Amino acid sequence: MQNIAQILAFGVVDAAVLAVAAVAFTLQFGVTNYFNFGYGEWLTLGAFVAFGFNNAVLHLNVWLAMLAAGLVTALFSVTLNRALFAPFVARRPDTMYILIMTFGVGFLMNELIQAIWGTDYRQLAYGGDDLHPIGPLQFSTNQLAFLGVSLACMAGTQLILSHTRLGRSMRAVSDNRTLAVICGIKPDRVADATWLMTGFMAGVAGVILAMQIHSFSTDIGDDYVYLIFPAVIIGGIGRAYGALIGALIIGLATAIGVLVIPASVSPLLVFAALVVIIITRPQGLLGGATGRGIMRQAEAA
Amino acid sequence: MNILFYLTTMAIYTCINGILTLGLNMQFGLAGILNLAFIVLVAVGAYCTGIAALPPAPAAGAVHYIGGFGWAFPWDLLFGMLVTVAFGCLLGLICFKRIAHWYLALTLSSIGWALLILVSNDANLFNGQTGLIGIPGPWQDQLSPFQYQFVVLAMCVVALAGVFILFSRIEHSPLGRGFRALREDELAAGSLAKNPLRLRMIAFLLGAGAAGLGGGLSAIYFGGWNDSAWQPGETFVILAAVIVGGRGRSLGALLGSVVVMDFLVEGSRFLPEIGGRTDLLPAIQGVAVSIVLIAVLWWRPFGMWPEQKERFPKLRRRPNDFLPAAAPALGGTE
Repeated sequence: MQNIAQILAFGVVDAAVLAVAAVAFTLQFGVTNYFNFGYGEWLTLGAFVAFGFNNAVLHLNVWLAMLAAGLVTALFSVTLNRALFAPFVARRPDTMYILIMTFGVGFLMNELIQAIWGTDYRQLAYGGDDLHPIGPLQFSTNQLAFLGVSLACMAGTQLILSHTRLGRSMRAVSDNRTLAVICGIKPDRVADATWLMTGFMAGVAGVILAMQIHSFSTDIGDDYVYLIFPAVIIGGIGRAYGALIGALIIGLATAIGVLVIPASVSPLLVFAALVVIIITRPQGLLGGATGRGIMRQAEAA
Repeated sequence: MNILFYLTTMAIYTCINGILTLGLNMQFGLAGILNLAFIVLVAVGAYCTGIAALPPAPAAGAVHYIGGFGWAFPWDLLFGMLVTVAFGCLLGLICFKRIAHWYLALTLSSIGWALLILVSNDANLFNGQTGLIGIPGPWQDQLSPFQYQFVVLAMCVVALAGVFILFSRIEHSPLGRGFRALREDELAAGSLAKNPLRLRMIAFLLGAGAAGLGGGLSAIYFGGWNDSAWQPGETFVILAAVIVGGRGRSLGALLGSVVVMDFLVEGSRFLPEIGGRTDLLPAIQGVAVSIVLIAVLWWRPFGMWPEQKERFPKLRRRPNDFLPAAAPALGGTE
């Protein structure tokens, strides 16, 4: 019994790391109305920038490096949005072309990261992993830190969305762009702020993911989107709480699944969860509209 | 002889890439299904062709795979294609009825990537990351490698010609116009009695057939297949070929596959090495392809050789001729 509780606790830690990435992805979609198919590379960029600060030259503490990586990724996202995505969207191309554009940019980023840092496996340098008993469970220092970082990101997002003018504007643009514009909200600024926020979270998620899996290469982001996208779909695309719930479901399901089926086939669980959700509730658990309804909204925007 | 060997190899690659590009052009270019998991279909074709051609896996040893039928040439390829179409049918049944457009793209790619991780993690299904090796080709044991090269080339040329003729016929047929109507406006197409579900499924399965054929041919030619050949980036290159060439036009797609895969990817092989780093080459290839794709999306979103508006011959007969011949009530003079 205690064993199962411990496994569930590890599942929660996995979910915490996944949640940061998934919430940022879904938030950016909600405001800008197109999603970022190259999203995995934002995590890769975060991980490698942190590696640069942490290992190569500066030997910064890993948590400072994480903050720095988050900031670099955030600035990079805003610059990219200003230079490429926003002008491209302003030309009103087919939505598919916007998606292909983001996919292409992601691919370009991955290749550039490979050109700079090479394809070798890397490790971040951080302190020893002591075990801390909490009640009947055991957590390592870093796992507690992951939970802390994740909770801080979630709380920060929640505070911004519910208590600031920016957050209200973001929700307004997400709900009804036209109405928001009529009310005097400048959607371009809101989009910039969103890219800043989600870029920061993506960078941080990349770093904690890199710490969690210990050694990483330039594939780190590509290999992780296969958990992020299902989490977002299961929760209901565009819904921050949905992404959180989706991340929890996937984290716990893969953790419990290892008890029942061999670890090598655990991606089957993700696949099964996706199929079940698409057949029974295509808009996701928290998605208000139907699957086709969400698409109409995006078309109209 | 060496240069001839190189040229035939390039020709084989060009044919296989052409088949794959035509397949994705059918799905994305004509019917508008942005299938970012296209390479998964190719992989299904390749693995299934492989297990159909290979003898059964030895009971003891490190090599595990399902199947192992030891079938001869045309049957293994056909089996691969059929399984790919069946797999495409399954994906379509899961997804098409409930979701469409960009949400479909997200879902298809998630499903594809989950399967990718599954196949490379699990050693029992297709031998994990090692993949299948030693897939026998037709008459490979009786021919010299040089002669075999020409046999494969002939197979690939015939396959490409078949797929091209079929797909460009479809492109200009009522079916193809239905696909395009669906792509441009699903609601309008539906109101003109075009069944979106059926059309989308047909286009998806045609594309899946081409994917299975191309995958099977490459498995036969390489003699093996493993998960490094079906990373998400591979779909990206095929998609870039469709966009650069001209979405929705078979000839444009072929042109795109030659430009992207032969000129950009293969051409950057001849660049001088920078700083003695051999790992830089794939990165440079990727950078070249993605920059060209972004530039095309920005300046020429319909590609180098864009789709033409359908033109119909003018009516030769006068409108009166369409009336029934014996219609005295309308005042016919005959």
